[in-house]
Amino acid sequence: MLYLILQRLFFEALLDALYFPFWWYTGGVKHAMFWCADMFQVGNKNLSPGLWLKNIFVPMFGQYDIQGRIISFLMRFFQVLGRGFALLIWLIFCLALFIVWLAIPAVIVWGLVGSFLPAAKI
Amino acid sequence: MMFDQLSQLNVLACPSCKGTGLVGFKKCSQCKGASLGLWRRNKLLVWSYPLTRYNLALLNGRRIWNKIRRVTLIVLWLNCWVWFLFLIYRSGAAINFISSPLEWPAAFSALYGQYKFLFWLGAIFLCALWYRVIVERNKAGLVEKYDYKKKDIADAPQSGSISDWSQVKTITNSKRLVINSAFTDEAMSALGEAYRFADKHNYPMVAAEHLFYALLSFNRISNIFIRLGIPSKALQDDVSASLGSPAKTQNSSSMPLLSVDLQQILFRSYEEAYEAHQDYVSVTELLVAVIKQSPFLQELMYDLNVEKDKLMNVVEWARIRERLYRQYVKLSRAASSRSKTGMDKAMTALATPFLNSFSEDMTLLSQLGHFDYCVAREKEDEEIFRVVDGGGMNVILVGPHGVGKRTIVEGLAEKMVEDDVPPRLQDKRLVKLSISSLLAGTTPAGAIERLIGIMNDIAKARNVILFIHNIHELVGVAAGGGGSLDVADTLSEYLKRGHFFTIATTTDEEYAQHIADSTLSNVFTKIDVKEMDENQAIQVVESKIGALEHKNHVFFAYSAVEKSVQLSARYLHEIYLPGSALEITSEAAAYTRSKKGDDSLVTAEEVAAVVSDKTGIPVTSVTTDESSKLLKLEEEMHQRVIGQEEAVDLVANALRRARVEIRSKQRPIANFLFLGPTGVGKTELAKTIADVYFGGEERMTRIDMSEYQDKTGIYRLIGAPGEKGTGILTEAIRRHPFTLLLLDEIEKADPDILNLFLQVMDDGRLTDSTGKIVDFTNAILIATSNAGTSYVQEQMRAGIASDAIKERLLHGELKQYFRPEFLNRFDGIVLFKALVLDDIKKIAGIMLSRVAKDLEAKGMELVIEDSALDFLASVGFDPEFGARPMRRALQERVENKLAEMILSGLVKRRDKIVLGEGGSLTVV
Repeated sequence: MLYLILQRLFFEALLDALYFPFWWYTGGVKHAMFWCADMFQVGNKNLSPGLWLKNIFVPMFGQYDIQGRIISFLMRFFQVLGRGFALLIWLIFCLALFIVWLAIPAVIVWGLVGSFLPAAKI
Repeated sequence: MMFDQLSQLNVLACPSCKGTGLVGFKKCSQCKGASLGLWRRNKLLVWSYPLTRYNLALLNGRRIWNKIRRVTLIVLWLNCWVWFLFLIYRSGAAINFISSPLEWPAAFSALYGQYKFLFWLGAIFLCALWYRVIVERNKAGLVEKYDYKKKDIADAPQSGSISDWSQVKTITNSKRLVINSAFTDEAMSALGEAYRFADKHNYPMVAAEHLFYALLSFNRISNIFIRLGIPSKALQDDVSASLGSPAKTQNSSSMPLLSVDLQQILFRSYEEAYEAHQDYVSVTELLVAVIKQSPFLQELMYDLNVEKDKLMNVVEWARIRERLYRQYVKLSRAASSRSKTGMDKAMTALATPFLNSFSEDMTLLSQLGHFDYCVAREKEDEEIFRVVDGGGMNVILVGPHGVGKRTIVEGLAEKMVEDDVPPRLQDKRLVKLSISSLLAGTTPAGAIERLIGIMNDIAKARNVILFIHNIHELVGVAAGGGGSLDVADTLSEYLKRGHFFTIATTTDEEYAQHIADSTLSNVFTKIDVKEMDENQAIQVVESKIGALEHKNHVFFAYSAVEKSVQLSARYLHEIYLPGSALEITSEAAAYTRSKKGDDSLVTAEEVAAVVSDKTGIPVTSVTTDESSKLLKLEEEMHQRVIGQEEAVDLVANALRRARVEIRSKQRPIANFLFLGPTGVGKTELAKTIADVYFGGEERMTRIDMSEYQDKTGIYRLIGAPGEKGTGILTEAIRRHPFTLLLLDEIEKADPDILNLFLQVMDDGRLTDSTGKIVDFTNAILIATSNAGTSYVQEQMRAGIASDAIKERLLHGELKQYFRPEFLNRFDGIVLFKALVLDDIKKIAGIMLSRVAKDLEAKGMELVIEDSALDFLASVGFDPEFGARPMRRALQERVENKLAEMILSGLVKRRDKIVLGEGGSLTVV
């Protein structure tokens, strides 16, 4: 039985090594996608431009007079813009990380091939 | 409580592979490895982990191989990159990287091809390592989330349910749930160990007992049994001894199969985890399932004094520890992203400087970790949330002191920090109004003004939930002409407007006295907070034991926790559960450490000793000395009480029953009525009981009922209305609940006063004038009476047997004094017999021995001759007055003479005085 087990483990390891690049673009992509989405969610929770937009006509700090309302509206408007922009940057960063995941195998292959070619004489 | 008889789950096993998932070394072609199934909650739960010799060895090998693979990948990756760094350092190219980081790509391209190859190879190894880590971690699945709606349909027959294996194939993958992925590694190892155990000992089937045996070798399980005071090794020996030899000798190629019991256990443990809202199925769930499934193990547990509740509470203890840790992590994470300035996320709130000076922010305190975790209060939380969801604005928690009203609100503060509350409470602050700050240094009018300021602050801020602890303290603080405006009225006026949500607390009495009739009662929705039941209190104590163990360097057995809750529920009525039990455990920890030293085990005995010290009630288990003393109780009592066998027997039996707790716990230990003429030993027997059982005559509460001949006496007994601590009877019993209550000459009391004792004798409780319940269940009630004495004496003179006299007395003579329902409540009515000459002689001996004892203290010896006793008996005997004339005779004939002799110097130290015939005293 020991022989059978060792044989099976050996084949499993072999298949695993072959499956690894394939996984990177299937299960791995899914994993990376969820990971980046989680990261984006954390940013969204902290910046929460949606919450500011929802309250855009609600005066800040309980200032219900007309001046307070105007100032609050303007303040909230710029906050929504600023926070939205920051969230956009964050989204780009998260997407960039996702793209990095997608690019890693290609970059490695490119690098390996490149290392065998004669130096590009740059 | 024994374990419930469970109905079998309809577990379906693949007939082709017999539930193993494998045929030979290959996956079963029929079930594709999903060898066991159970239709539950509208889906098919599938077990697809082949428990076979080959598969277990393969999995074991895979586990080792995975470790080797990880380590190899780490070594290869580091090797490549360290070499790469070393080579570029040696070639001098490193300087290009350090000097201008922007030029890295160019510097990298300029490297030798071999160097770059090493780098990229290292990158491949790193990615492979990353891949392995993710893949291995992703394997673990979770138990389904508990669905309250599906609770009812879980067991009901459903459309599309399956009852036969042939139907399993028709179930699509989307309706299947593989449960073995929700089992922890530890649980899987336990299953593997059980299989290996059965395989090694050639059992044809893996039975529940094999799994139990295997579970005992896991730390978490052996800890559970250590808490129960059972060493797991001894338990393993018991189980293996009872397993017997395998039914048949097997050749090495045939393998054990899963028994039907074990198949049930696999699914039952999953269901246990689901019901207990656990994320994973761990060894604790396996333990519960295995014991529930096997009648043999239930018997074994029963022999070891482990009942269902006990086992479930200890398992819950193990779970609580994990849950507390997870809650701590969750709270700290939530706390870090929450504002500490009291501002909500949308910044609509307003600063509340005025409110802040009269309050403390409970959500902030919770963020800073000031509160303990709230356990077993789901019901009250749900009730509060129901009011919130229903649009209610104000909630008042009503319950006695110490039941945990404030802890519930602290738990709510934690939930608010975690945002685990209905939307109306999210992103809000819970602020506790300090009533003392509000009222300090101002007049009632000033307090009202402050309160208005606070209310306006809260209304404007819009993110504050107000908490008023002990709201009754605000009622009665009145201003205006003749106290026309009460602070509480102002409060209710603002609360009625519904601008903000308020939670308040008060006690039952205060609610009835102050809130129910005031304007506040219309504003609040009342939620009753009851005293915890014993199981809930045990869970609370378990949740706090960790800190106590750490502080005192001791280890608590489960029996100690259980005992602390049981004893405090029974004997400590001043504080409610769980407060009383927490106090006891904390004292028991310190007591054990001082008695046994560091790292010792706190058992039920230490807890009982602490309770005994506190209350004076003997609750420790009966020792050999004590049990022999209890068995010879009659002998001991007869040393003081002469004759009266019936009375002594009755009392001794009652005391024995009480000590081993074979008695009703809702009544006093015993209620006796002692009838008989004066001087026959009624009071003496009562004193003897107090001395023998309660540890001293001073532990007797004696009330002369002749002082209560009119109705006003009631107020002396239970206290004047509204005045605390004025009841003679209630206060005495409240201070010393473990006592003998002697009601002397009860026939002289007013009949209405006797009615008061009907409840005491029947329910063991009496309510005093302030509404507090006083517990009489640890008292012995003895009433003495001379009622019908002359009748008894007449009958005795007529030579009628004592039983017949008693019968006639009960049905005739006594009814003049007592109502039948009163007499009916006594456990024993004893007619004390009149003393005969022989009894009097013995009594004379006892009395003289007391005199001899006094003389001995002065260094003199008194020798009593038998003829002297005869003489004293003859002069001191009067059948009508019992033993009392003997005391007088002794005074006149012996004690007076002795006093004269001592004063005149006739006797000195070391002298021997002989009391001889005719009461003569001679010095030898």
